[in-house]
Amino acid sequence: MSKKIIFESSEGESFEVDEAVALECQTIKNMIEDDCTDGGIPLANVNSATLTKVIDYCKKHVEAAAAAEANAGDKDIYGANKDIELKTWDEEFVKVDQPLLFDLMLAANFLIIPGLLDLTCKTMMRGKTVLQIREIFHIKKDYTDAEEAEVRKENAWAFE
Amino acid sequence: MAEEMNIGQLDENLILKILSLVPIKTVVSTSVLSKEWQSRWKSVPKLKFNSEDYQSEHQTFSETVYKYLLSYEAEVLDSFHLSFGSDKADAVDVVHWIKTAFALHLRTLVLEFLIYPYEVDEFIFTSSLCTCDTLVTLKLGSLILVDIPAPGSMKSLKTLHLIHAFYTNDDSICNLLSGCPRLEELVVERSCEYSVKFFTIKVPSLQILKIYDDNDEDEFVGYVIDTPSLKYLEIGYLGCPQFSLNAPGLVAAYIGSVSNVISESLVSVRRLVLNVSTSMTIYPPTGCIFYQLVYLQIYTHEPGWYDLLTWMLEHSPKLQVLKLVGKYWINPDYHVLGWEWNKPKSVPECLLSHLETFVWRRYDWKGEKEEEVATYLLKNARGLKNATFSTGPIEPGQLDKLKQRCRTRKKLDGVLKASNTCHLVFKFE
Repeated sequence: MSKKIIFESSEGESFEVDEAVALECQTIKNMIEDDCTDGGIPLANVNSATLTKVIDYCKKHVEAAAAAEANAGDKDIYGANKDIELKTWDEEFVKVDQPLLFDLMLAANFLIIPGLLDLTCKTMMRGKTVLQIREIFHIKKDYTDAEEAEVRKENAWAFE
Repeated sequence: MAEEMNIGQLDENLILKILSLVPIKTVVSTSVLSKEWQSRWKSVPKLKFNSEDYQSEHQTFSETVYKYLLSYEAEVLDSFHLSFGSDKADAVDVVHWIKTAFALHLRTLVLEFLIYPYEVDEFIFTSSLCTCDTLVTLKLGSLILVDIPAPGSMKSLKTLHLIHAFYTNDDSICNLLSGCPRLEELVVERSCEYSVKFFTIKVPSLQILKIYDDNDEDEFVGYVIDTPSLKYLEIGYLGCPQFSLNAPGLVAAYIGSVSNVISESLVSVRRLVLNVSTSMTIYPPTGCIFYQLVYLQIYTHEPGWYDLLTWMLEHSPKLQVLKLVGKYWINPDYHVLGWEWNKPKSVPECLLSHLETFVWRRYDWKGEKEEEVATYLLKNARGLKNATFSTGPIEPGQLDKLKQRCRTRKKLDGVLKASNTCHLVFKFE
């Protein structure tokens, strides 16, 4: 049996995961190395819904890495089949509503999961217009109309 | 966590990270969000410009790149990725942009020259561009002509990818590489080219080398590789007659579609994958033994693989893992007829003592000779712990395939195995 690590979400819910899965998080890795994970790791700023997703992500990537290791050296005619499969999985994984995506990004940043951080950051503004970005992130416009027109004029090519 | 998504609560680095992952046009357009955002785009550390998808009535591609680089406010530019065609960017300008980026302590440079049909053109990568001591990664794409008459200086460069670049002559290659004393990873992809005779890679620090080269022009003789620190070698194709390698510390190698590379120079490897044209394999001289080899993988795509297997078994006394990989698609009408497998003359040492794992992926259940090889290994490998045969799923309607599988499976199950602890597994992939 592999060693288990217990996470506790902000709601106080416990999540038991394999150590290998927890090791995907650099922050946790450091804690495990320093031997301070007994009695569970409280994650006061990660809620249960987010934590469930984060664990799904880490599990999938641990499994994919193990499979890749087992088939290391296999170069099929169609190249990196497994890579494509994992990428597709990732794409599906971030098809969530914007608040959850935002929480996932913050969790990835806090737990230091580089792959998940890149994935969520990349998705955050993808395909969005300035108006949508402003709305999603609640950015208050503090330009006067004249000032805004000036900014638009300055970089007109970006607004075509 | 976030009651509402307020991007203002994020730290600046995270915001810049988000911005560095979206298209440059979106990045610049965020200037209109609020005063706080007015100049933020000027600090995004990764710039990616592509002239092909650039369209504007207001300013040209060149004006945009110039303007962006000149307004850049952070001290360090992490990455500059430029894909350009000669229709939208003048070579003089491109050189100027690169130098401007160098002045910003650039770490990664990716250049891709876009080709237009019927337009013979090239971008010349000259000595003056091999002068950036902060650069860690350099990737040069297609139709970039490397013309370097004197050694450059890229003291921090660790990764260099030369993807279908061209070279004025042998010296340009030597001069490019000799300016990189810390280079660890080199990827070379080439096709037809007339101006190089020897591609010399003499890099003491190099650890990873990948070559995909189908240049079989008469002018090109081959590779001369002198890399004492090399750990991993990957050769996808090789069309040239000569290949000399000095890599005494080599740990792992993948050799594909090459006949003349399995040589003494690979003798130090622990892991070896052979995907070679077996009919043309030139074997190393006698006395060449793979003492370090613990993992061997051989593709069974072409007739003759079994002879290579015999040779490798006889010359790898410490082998622990043997993996055979069958064809990706098996043509139902395809049969290699009349081949004789020359079994090892006596049971090889690795079978008597070290071999623990035997895997056969995409096993062909119909192949009689495949069965002969599998039977031989099961009968003789004394320390075998696991033997796994796997195939792709059998489609409904392929009843004979299923029958054949059952029949062969029974036979292999019934083989009197040399190891009484061998765990035999049959599975679908």
